Amino acid sequence: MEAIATEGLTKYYGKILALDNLNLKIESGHSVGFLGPNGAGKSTTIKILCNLIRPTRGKAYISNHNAIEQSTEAIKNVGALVETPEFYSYLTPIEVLSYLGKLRSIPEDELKQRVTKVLEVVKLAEWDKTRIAKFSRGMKQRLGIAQAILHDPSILILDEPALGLDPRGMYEIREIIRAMVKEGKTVFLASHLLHEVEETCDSVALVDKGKLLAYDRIENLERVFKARKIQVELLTPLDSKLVEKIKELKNVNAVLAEEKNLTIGFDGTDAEQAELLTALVRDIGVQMVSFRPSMKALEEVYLQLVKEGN
Amino acid sequence: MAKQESTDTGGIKQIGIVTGYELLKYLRRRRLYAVLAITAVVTVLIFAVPLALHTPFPQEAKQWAASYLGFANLLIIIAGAFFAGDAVSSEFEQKTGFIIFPNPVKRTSLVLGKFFAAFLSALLTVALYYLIGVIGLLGIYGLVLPEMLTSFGYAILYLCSVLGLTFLFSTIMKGSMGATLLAFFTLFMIMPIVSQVITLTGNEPWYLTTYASGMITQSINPQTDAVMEFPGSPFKIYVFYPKFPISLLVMLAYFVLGLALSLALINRKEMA
Repeated sequence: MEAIATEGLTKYYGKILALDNLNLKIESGHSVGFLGPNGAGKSTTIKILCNLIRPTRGKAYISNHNAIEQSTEAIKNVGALVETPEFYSYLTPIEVLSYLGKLRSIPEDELKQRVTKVLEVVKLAEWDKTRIAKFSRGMKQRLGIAQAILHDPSILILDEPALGLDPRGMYEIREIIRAMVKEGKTVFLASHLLHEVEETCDSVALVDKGKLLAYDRIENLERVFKARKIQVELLTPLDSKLVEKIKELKNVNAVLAEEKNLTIGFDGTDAEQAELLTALVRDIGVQMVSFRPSMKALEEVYLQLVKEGN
Repeated sequence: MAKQESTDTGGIKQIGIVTGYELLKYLRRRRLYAVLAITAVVTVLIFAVPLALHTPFPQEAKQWAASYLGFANLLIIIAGAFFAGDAVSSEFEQKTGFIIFPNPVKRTSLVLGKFFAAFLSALLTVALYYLIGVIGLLGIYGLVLPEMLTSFGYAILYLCSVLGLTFLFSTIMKGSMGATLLAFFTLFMIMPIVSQVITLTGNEPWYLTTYASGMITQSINPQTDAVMEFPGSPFKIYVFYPKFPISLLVMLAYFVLGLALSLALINRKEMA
C-alpha cells in the first residue's frame, strides 16, 4: 500500500514554477529522504501534503485519501513538522500538546500518558510547565517533533527536523526517527543534510527546480552513479606499485592514495566488499588501521544529479 | 497507534476545544482584563464627572439610560477589535498555523471556535456594562427600565455584526495589527463619516451597521427623523434615526455575510 503518492503535482507561486509535475510514490513502512537545494520544491510538496497550500495542478494522496479534498481524513495518521515550528507562546508544552491531542480526539487518560512520554523522548520533560515564550529555537524544534509523534502516527512527514539543533540534539532527533523507522512507520524526510538522510532513510528522492531528478534506494543510486567509496586508514603510506595492484582488484573503479589515507572507488555488493577487504590484507599486504564506507557517497550522487539538472 | 475517535462527528467538540484555548489566550495575554479595565474607567467617569462638576443627572431615566448606553457602541467596537482582530491572521503571521492546520480539524471549526471565544469575551464586557447601567438606574432613579433588555438584545446583535466584519478583515489581512486597526477605524471612523456625508445629502444611511447600531439607544429613548430648514436659505439639516426592523436586518446581514465570507476564505487561504 502506498502511504504517500503524488500525481503530476505542479505548483506556481505567481509566475514562479515551484513544483513541476512531481510523481512520487512512497510505500508504507519505507523511509524516504527528500533531498534538494534551497528552493527545489521540498517544502512546497510537504505543504501540499499537509493541506497548507493548494497545488496548481495534480493530486496528492496520503493513505489513499486526497490530501486536499479529504484533508482531515488524509492527515489523521500523519505526524507533521513543517518549517520551523512556532507555538502559542502563552501555553506550556503540556498545554499545547494537550490542545493538539484533544483536537485529535485522543482519550484523556491516554493523552496524559502520551504527553508525558513524548516530552521525555524529546528531552523536554524538565520544561513541561514552562511557557513556550521562554523557549529557544532548538527547544521549539524538539517540541515540534513531540507534537508530530504525539498520536503515534503511522506516517511521519518532517521538514528539516534538525534545523536549529546543536550536534547532540541532531543526533537525538536522528535516533528518534530511526526508532520510528524500526517500528515500521513511513517516514518522509525533507532535508539538505545528506548525512542525516543517509543515516535514517533507505531511499532518496532528489528534486531540483521542482523536478524529480532521481528516486531509488540509496545503495542503488550509489551504484548507478559509481559513487560508492571506501575509506582506508593505513599504518604506513603505500608505494605506487601497490596502488596499481589495488586498481586491478575486482570491482575497483578508482584509487586515490594520499599519505596514510586510501580512497577506493568501488562498485559491488556487500559480499564483494568483504572479498576486497580480504584481498587488500591477504594478497596485497596492506597494513590497515581502519576500513569504512565513505559517508560522502550520497553527496557525490547529489552533486552529480544537481549539476546534471542545471 | 493511539486510539482516535471519529473526527467526522467531532466538529462541535473541536469548536468547543478551540473556544476554551482561545479564552485561555485572552486571560493569559491579559486582553480580557484590559477591556474590562477600559469599561471600568469609562463607567467610573460617567458617574463621577457629573458629581464632581455638580451637574444634575437628567430628569428622565430614559434620557440618562440612552446617554449612558451611547458608549456601548464604542465599547463593542473596542472589544470586537481587541478579541477578533488577530484571531485568524495571527495563525499565518505568527506561523502557528504550521502546527495547528496539519491536524484532522477543519479550518472552519477553528474559525468558529475562535469566533465563539471572541463573542463570549466581548459579551461578558458588554453585559457587565449593562449591569452597571441597571444598578445606576436603580441608584439614581430607583427604577429598572424594561427597555434595557431590548437594548441589550440590539447590543448583542451589533456585537455579532462587528465580530463578523472583524473576522472577515482578520481572514483577508496578512498582519494582525493591520486587521485590528482596519476593523477599528472602519467601524469607529470610516463608517460614521460616510454615514454623516450621506445624511447631509438628505438620504438615510440605513445600510451601514454603525448607523443601525443606533437602535441600542433608540430602543430606550426613541427619536423621530427631522429636517431643520433655515428661512431664506436652501440649506437643510437632516437628522435620521435607525428603525425597526430594517436596522435589525442590516446588523444580521453584516454578521452572517462577514462570518460566512471568513469561513469560505479561510479554506482557500494558503500558508506559504
